[in-house]
Amino acid sequence: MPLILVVDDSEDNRFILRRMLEIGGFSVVTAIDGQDALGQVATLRPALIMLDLAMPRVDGWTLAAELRKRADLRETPLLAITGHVMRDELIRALDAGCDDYLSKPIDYETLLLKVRALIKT
Amino acid sequence: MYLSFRAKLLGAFAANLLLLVALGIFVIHQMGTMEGRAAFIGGQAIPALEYAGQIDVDVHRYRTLQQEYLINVSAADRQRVGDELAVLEQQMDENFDAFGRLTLADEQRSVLGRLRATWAIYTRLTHDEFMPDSEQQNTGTVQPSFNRMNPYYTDLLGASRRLSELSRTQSADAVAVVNGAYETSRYVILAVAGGAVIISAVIGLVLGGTIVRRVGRLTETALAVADGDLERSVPAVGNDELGRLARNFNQMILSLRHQRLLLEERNRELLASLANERALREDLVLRRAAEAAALQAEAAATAANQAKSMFLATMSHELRTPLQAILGYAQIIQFEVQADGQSNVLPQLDRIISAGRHLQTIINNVLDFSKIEQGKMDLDRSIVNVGALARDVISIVQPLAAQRKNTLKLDCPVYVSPIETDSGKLRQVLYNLLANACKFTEHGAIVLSVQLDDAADQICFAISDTGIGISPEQMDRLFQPFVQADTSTTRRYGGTGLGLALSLQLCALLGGALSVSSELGVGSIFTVRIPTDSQPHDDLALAEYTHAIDPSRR
Repeated sequence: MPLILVVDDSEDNRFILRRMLEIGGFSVVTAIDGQDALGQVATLRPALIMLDLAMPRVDGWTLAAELRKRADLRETPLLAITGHVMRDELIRALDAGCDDYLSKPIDYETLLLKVRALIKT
Repeated sequence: MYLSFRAKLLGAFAANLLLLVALGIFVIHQMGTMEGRAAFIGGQAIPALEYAGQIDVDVHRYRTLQQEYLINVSAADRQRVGDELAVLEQQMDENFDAFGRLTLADEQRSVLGRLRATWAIYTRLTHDEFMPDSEQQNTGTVQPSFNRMNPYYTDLLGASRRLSELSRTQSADAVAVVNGAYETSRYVILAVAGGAVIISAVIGLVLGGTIVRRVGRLTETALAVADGDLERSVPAVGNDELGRLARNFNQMILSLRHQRLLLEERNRELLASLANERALREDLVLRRAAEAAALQAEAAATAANQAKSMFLATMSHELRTPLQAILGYAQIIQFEVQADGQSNVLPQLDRIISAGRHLQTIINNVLDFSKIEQGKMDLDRSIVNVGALARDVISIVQPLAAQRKNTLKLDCPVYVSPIETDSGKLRQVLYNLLANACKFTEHGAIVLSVQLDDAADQICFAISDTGIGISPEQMDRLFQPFVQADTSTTRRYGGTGLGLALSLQLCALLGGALSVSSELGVGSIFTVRIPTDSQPHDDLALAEYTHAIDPSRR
């Protein structure tokens, strides 16, 4: 089962995403923010990383930029989870290295479609 | 008639001069008289007296010589006496001639004539009778002839004395004339001097007094005028210098009064203009204050609106987070329940998810609305297949239409050229309008018709229904945010009342317009016009309102 790292500061979101992805047939690890995620990727090799943008300590944009600096994670698909963010924030996320984005609230079917598409590439 | 002081002074001077000239002439005349008299006395009276005295003396001498002739008997003596008598006779003739040459009064001349005639007789008797008698008689026999001469002698003496007397009288008269002339001259000179003094005094005193009095009045008035009393004037009597001065002075006062009136008027004008200016300035200050207040109010209103938008954005965000959790959990539960085969709770879960999505739509609308109000809404333009988009929206709305037993129909040409616009926003507008139509219509027909208006480069979407309709009063507030056609509709039909306001603003954002025509109880037609290549458009005032539905359109 492909491993997916979910980075979100909201426990509810972490739980919902974990459950949806598990139902969809993925194994999931979670991180509470960008810093936590950076710590986890030192040992893990996830097939995809889902990251919230607005997070304490290290936010999604910084996290994406940091991940893209690592040679081993340069190719890992990054899927941004956005709230009702402004357009320029979204563009900033894509510029920082995210491959695609997913708007909240998470729709199960949309989520699985995007995740499968990204992992396949 | 007043003469000028100059004329008066000249007159007085002339009078004095005239007096002096007259005096001079008079004195000259008097002096002439006195000189004439003095010359007369020197040249006539004194010689007359002398000659008269000489005549008297000579007469006496002649008598004495006669007696000597009588007494002497010697021929030599008689010869000597006879010679002396002849000398005396000659001297007497000279005396008479000299006297006769003098200027003589008539009486003098007659006396002289008588004297000369008597003398002639006397000398003739002397030579003719006395002397021959005396030569003949050496004794006192000649006495009779001598005695016969006595009356003539007496006459001679009398005439001689009379002549002396007359000459004396003449001299005395001449002296009296001189004295009289002197006296007259003295009196006249005194009188003239007195007259001159009086004239001068009168002129000086009267004129001086007048001048002093009138100059005093002028001075008094001038001081009063200098103190500002311009109602004064000087009595302008006379045509003299002071009269003219007074008139000029009065003229000056009049001029001053006029000037003061002008000044006062100017002053009043200035005061009025000052007051006016002050009023204007106050007005300006007030207006500036009002402008400042208006600007402040506008700023406050803008700030309030910003605050409202911020509040709405924040609220929406805060509402969305728990809503996402609710929807997420509901979906998970749905899966769990399906996996467990507990299908009895699935409808309720569907209702939870449906209601949550509805709530999410509302929140998104609020957020979009605040974004538009803050000017933060961006267009995401792309080439859009209108037909596909319309079919898509119809399929989404279909369940809603079915809820109230409405028929939903799409009236679209087979091929519509693609347009360039923000498909998401156009979809949102069409969805909102169709959802509204479904909401307010029951057992009716809802039609979405699409038409391309090539002439105007516009595409037209008309959403018509056979619902409750909108009254003209409701129409006015239709597009205002958070207002539904009737507040009671909120209870009856739900919704935030934001859908139409948001749709209107989205249409404007797409460069198009949203209009409505409706008839109460018959139905409504909402018309969306979008340019085929929509450019960003800030003007939100493009919405058109049509109050009455056009029956031909039904």
